[in-house]
Amino acid sequence: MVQQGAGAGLVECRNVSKVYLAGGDRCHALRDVTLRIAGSECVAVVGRSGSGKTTLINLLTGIDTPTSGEILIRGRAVHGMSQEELAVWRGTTVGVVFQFFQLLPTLTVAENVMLPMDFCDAFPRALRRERALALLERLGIPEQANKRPADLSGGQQQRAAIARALANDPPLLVADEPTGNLDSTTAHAVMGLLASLAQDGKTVLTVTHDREMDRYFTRTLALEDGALVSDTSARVAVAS
Amino acid sequence: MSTRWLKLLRDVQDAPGRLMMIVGALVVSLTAVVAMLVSFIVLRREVPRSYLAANPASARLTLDGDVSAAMLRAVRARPAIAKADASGFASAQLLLDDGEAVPVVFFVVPEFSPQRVDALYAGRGPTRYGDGALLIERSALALTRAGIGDSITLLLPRGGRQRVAITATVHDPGVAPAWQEQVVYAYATQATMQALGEPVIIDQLKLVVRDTTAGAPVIDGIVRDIMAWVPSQGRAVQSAQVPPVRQHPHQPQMNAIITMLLIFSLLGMVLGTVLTATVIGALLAQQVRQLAIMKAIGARSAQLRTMYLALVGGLGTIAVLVAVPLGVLTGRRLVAIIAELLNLRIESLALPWWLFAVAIALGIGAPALAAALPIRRAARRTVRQAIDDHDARMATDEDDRLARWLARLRIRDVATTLAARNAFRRRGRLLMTTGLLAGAGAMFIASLDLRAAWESKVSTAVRDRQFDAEIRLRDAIPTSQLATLAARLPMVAALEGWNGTGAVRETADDSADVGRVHADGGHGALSFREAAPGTDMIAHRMSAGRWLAPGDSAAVVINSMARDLIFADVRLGDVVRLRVNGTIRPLQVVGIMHESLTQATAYVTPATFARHTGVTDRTGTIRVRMRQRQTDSVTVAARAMVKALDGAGITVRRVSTSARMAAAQGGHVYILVATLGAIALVMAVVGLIGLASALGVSVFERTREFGVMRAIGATRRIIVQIVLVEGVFIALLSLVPAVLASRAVSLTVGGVLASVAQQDLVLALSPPGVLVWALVLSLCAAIVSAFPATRAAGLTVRDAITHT
Repeated sequence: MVQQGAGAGLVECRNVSKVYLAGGDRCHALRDVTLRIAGSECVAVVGRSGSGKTTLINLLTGIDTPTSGEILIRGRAVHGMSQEELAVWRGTTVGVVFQFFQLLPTLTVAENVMLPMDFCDAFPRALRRERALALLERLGIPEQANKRPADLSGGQQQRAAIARALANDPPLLVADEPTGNLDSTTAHAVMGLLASLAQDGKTVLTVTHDREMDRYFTRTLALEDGALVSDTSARVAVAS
Repeated sequence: MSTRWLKLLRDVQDAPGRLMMIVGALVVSLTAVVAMLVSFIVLRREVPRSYLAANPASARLTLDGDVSAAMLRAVRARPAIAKADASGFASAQLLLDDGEAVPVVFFVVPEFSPQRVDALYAGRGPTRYGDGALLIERSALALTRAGIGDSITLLLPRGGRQRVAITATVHDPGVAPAWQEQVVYAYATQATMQALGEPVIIDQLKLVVRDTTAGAPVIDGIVRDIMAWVPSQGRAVQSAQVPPVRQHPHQPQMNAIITMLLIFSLLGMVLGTVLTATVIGALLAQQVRQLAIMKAIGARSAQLRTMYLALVGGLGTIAVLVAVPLGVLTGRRLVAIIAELLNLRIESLALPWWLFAVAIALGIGAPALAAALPIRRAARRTVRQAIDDHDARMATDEDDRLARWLARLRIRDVATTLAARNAFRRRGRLLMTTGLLAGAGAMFIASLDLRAAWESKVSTAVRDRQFDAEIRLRDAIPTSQLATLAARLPMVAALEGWNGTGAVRETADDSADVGRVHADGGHGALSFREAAPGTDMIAHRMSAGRWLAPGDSAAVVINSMARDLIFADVRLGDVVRLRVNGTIRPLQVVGIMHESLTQATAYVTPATFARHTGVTDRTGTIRVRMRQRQTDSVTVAARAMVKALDGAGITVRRVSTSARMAAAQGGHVYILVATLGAIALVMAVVGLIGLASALGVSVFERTREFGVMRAIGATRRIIVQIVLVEGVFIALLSLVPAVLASRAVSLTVGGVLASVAQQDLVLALSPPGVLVWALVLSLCAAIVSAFPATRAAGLTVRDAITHT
């Protein structure tokens, strides 16, 4: 069964499986998953702990490689890329948002946002800071630009992390439980931001197990024991 | 500045301590290497230059009377001869104000100005000297306790007591430092000595051959031609010496010492480099997550490699900027010390450009090369691997015997067991840390082993020498007078005649009519001495054969140094031929004896000695055993004895006490031992920095563990205990390899030392050395572990939860 999104396929998984070896036992983290995600979708990946959510995200971002099957992002086979190709590809194609923000502690917030541009040489050097400040303005934390991450609240750090993910203007934004470490109000604000990004044309893929966040997604993929058990679409997603 | 470099700069600013540790370790080790290189380069260049500039004699012939002016002219006119001069020797005593007598050796020349062989350099005071001038070797001025222009009191064998003013000091590169030999070297003309009532025969003919490339066989040929010619001038040649060609007497030993120090400094540099790799590896271990994040947002491995290699390069550059000037200064100071030890003149301290290139390569290139591997490994890690690297994991491989053994390990309490197991969690890091500490320990233990070996040598020598002083008389006295003399001297317990003279071994290739003794008379010399078969003045510790027996008429016993230096090919029972006073006689080797701190000597019975030398029933050298044998008592007794002998009309030429001889020989050795200790200190500092760094990272990696331990009830004291015990445990793990490696170091350095001191050393592992090192190591390890231990104890449960 091919799970297909509404628009042209940005993300495409074909019979993807992932098997880990743990203490001599084979553990099926993903089983024969096939799906397609179109541009501008805001997709939630839900499931119990150990259902394969993070594995799916890691495969889509090239952090991990599938045991079998194919993953294509914008028509390019991710599973066949070398680590060096993946680094460059990730820098320009995928923005990754982590649960624990993972901002570099020795850089200011603005500098954290500028770092991907530097690595990928994505924008002229003179324009990088201006772009970083614009992104922080858009995410509502312009006044935090010159502070170090440790001086920010959890919500502010996650906004900064999203700004960093957007630095090179990637078409795909992947977030692994971005609200897992935030209070309810901040979590809603962050999810609203992600949904608004999808409305602006980005494809957003978010791992979550918070049912209260369903309303921000246009589509929900449910995993159970590594298998894709349901794929439901909502009529309208709510942006903040 | 681009953002990635900004990140690196901020990392440095945020954690300067650890990076400063790298710089410190590199500075310490690079300074040592540069210092040793500077000494090596300058001394290798300047020692021969300084030595050859004084025109050292290619050969010295001792005649049976004055070298006449006509003979000298004739020798100078020979085409093979570039320079020739004549000189003589005289002995005296310098009487100090407190009554102590110091031996004086006079080098006597017909006149100063045309002396071209064994030339002197001007020192302090006037630089033009004539008859009446008394010149003192610069290193001997302190022994006279006088200054230039001051008068000193000399007790001359024939001239009696004379007050003479010191005209100036000179530098004579051909003699050892006066403080080392405890002898005052003085220089005067024949006319000056005549005026002092001490006529001196100018019986030495010194030659410099014209062919500067000539080897020993060519010089031997030239010398033999002259030896064949001398009888036609109405003189006989008593001995001829051709010292090693164009080589300072101490050159081989000096090369050996500097090479050894250089090797150890390079070893220190290797350890410093390993430390850099360890600390950078540790730094990267702390930044595993950050590396993963950077890769996740687009950083390529090459970019990350460049960043961290640049960091190492920057640290190396700082180290080079500090260490090179410091090393050059230290090296120059070392050169000055060695020059003083060898009584050399250093004309130029210039350094070649390549020294600086080597320093830069070592300071920047070596750490970068060593760090390249951990950097490459960290940069190549996939995002997944980095994210999964939560904590320092324990090896769990079922086949890993160590892991299984550790799992069963139970020590006293859980905290100690945990500390011991933790030490093995990062085995690569453990290996590097223990390697660093083992290197330092090996050097430390070896330095104590060497010290113990030398001290054992000295105590053996003291035990073997059953005499306290050797007294040389101006005129030989009848041996029958000795018993009367002993009875008249209350401080004397025993007294024996021990005549001696120089000898040359004649070998089958027959070049032995020419000896190989250096101008200082020590290197390569063989002493030919009489010893009564029943004497108890020396212990007869035979390594082979027996001691002299009363009926021996053509038997010789050689001591260990004679065997090593002159009779290496001789076995017990072999017949050797010795040239003594111009006569060659065969002698059978009946015994080889151990004798510490004594020059190469061949012992024969008084009857054999008399037959070889023609000296019958008279003695010019006596050995004395005092009633009070403590060093201070011997000095006082020797002084009183000289006075008593003087009162009896017997003039003393020279007094040597055993304690003074042993102290003079020990000087060199203790300097070497101290240098070795200093290198051990450098390595220990580097090793402890490594340990502190490894523990710091280990604590960081285990933040969660410590938080969990706090959550389940561990007190701060327990956490501190775990980290401290772990630090001390790791340090003590280095003890076994340190002891093993110390044997190799001891044997290597001991070989060099034995060659320098011309003594065989018995190198045994010194248990106190190991114990001292274990204590020092444990204490230092506890001190350097205190900081990470305090940090670990300060971690809260919240720190553990938020640690990513």
